[in-house]
Formats: sequence, C-alpha cells, structure tokens
Amino acid sequence: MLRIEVDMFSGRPNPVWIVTEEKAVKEVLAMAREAREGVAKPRTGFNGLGLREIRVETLADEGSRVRGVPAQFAVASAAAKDHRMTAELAQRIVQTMPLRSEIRLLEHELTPLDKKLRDLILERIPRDWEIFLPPKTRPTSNPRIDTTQDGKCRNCEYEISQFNPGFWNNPATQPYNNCYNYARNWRTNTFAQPGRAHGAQTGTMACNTVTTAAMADGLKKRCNPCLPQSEFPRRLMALVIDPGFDYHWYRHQRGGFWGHKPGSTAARNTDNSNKVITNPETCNRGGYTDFCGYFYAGKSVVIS
Amino acid sequence: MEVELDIFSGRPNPRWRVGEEVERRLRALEEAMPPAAAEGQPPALGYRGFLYAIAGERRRAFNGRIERPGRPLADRELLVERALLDTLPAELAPLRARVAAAIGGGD
Repeated sequence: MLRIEVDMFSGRPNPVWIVTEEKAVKEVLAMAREAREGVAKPRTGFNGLGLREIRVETLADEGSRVRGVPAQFAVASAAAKDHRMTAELAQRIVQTMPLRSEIRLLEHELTPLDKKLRDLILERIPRDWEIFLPPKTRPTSNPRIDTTQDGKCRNCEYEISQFNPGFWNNPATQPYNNCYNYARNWRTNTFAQPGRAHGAQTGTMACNTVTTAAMADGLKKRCNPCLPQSEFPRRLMALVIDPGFDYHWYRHQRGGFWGHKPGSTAARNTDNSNKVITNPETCNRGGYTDFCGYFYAGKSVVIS
Repeated sequence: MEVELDIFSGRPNPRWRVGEEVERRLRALEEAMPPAAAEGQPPALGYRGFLYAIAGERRRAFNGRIERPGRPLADRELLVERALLDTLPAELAPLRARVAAAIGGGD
C-alpha cells in the first residue's frame, strides 16, 4: 500500500491518495527502481512556493517491496540527480492518480481528487529545476572582494566581501535561503543544510555533528590548513549551536563586521541586541550559546 | 490552515496544520483587536513568532503584534500566540517551554 502526496499547496491540503491495488503498487515501485537517478530523499529539494516534490511512501510492513527502492522517496524533486528523469517519473505516477476519492481521506474535503486537479499537477511538474534554482556551477559572488591576511594565522589568506543584503532580502530569494546559504554565499533556493549535498546531513544539533556535516561539504577548519589561492573566493565562516535545537552561521564581511541571515528572515549585520556584529564569539546570539569555531569555505565547497 | 513556528535559523521551521475551528477563533480574536501603534521587530535569532494565513493573507504574530497586509493589529495579551502555542503537535514538545518563556506565559 502506498501513500502519494503532491507537495504543492501552501494554504490548502496537498493532493494525496492511497494506492492499495497490489499490481499498481508494484508498477510504481518498479518505475522508481528503473529510474533511480530520478528519485530523491523526501524534503531535500526545493522548499519554496509551488510544486516542491511528489512523495511516495510505503504504508504497510508487509506486501510489495522492491529491492533498491526506499520506503519513502520523492519524485519531481530538485534534489534528484536527473531532473528530466524525475519529472518523467512524476508524470507517470500522477497519470495513475484516481479521478475520484475511492479511499476517502481528510484532505479530500478541501482538496478533492478530480481530473482538473490531475491536469493542474501535470502542468506544474517542473521540467527544468534550473529555472527555479541558480546553476550549481556558478555560485554567487560579489565583485567587490578584498583578500586579507588571517589575523589568527598570518600565512593564511581569505576574502572578505562587501555586505550586500539587498541580494538576499527580496521575495524571490529571502524565504528560500538560510544562514548556511548566506555564510557560504551561495543562493541555492533550497534552504541548504550542512552535509546534504554529500549525503552527510545530521539531525543532531551539536558542534561536532554539524561541523562534520559541513566539512563533508568541503569546509575546512580555520588555519588548518590554509586554502590556496585557487580556491578564490575563500570565505571565513563561524558556526554556533543552540544545543539540541539548531545551528547558525556567520560570514566575515568587509568593514570589520560579520553578516548573517537567520533562517528565512532578512540578512543583516546586527545581533539580537541590534548591535553591529564585530565578533561572533561575543555578540548577542540568543539561545545559540555554543560557539563551535571558524571555517574557511573555498570555491569548491558545494552545498544544497 | 498551516502554521509555521518561526524559530530556527539553519533548520527549516516546524510547520503543522490546524483545523478550521482554530482559524475561526483567530478571526474572532482579530476582529476585537485595535490597530497596533509602535513598530516592533523580531530578534535575529530565536523565537520570532508564528506565521499563518487567513483567507490567503499571510500573518506574523509576534510579541503581541499581528503583522498583516494593511494595518497591523495589537494583541496586548498575546492571545493569538498563546492559542497557536496550544496547537503545537506533540512531536514538537521540546519547543513548547522555549516559546512559552518567550511569550511570557506558563507551559
């Protein structure tokens, strides 16, 4: 038995249906097995408004399982390796959506299944996620960059850039990019998570676990080692933790201060006391009491 | 109606759905609220209020102020925030005490 949910609405319940017929379940799972590059882990792709992904979930602990297909997966996902394949898989799965609520769910009161809804979903499946997301090969960069010697280890250098909050603080960007996006200076529009791009995301909010996840993305501990010039532009980032709950990052900016972007709120250079951040170790960080350390992020750091 | 607790920076905020009766209650509370006067901004880090939509219009309830399109409203007793905190799902229980402390109420 499968539960299929199209994650697309913001106010109404998402379209959702249950597949109980064994033949139909096997067909969906077989499609996923044949097109593995089109399948992604749920909730790891686009996180904004519109169609985000289609989630398929096995509900029963007996019955059809197909080797190599996880119990929960997503299609029409920006996190899938092959965007064309994920869209095609989604199309095929949505084509099997029932046109009336044979198995009545609570969601069907406000989002009943019918042909019009199916056609809407088919129309909204992105064929090309690149039009929603900036190309990963071209991280954002600020042309006004200075190279500075690291005060902690003079043999190392990194780049500090002009504080440019306007780049982040607009409706198309702000909701979809978080502290990690900002500190790394890469607008992925995926609310990037440390380690996710490399299958190393953590669910434990502590200095050691988030550090490990971030280093899987390519971050290096400050001064250990220096980043070569070939990694230009090299950012200096600071990591803090709200123990057990969350993490937060800062980026060193030109002008002697640090910038940050708390979640989907605006990028800024002030702390919880509304003071300009000159030192992330001593600024007002609210509940983010644990200071984990500093990191370099060079050109080759990939986040998602 | 979907409710989002705006509290995290790195991790996505928690979101959950509430029933129509909650939406009706929030509408009724709003109808009794005067316009808000002073400007108030959420802090950078930590609890920044609840986000939700009524009739498709987005709102932020934070620190006794309801931000919405047009004139914000004053919720001096933080009734909206308390009502939404009451809908916090069981799996988010670890956040309850933190939000309760932020809105100045008991758990």
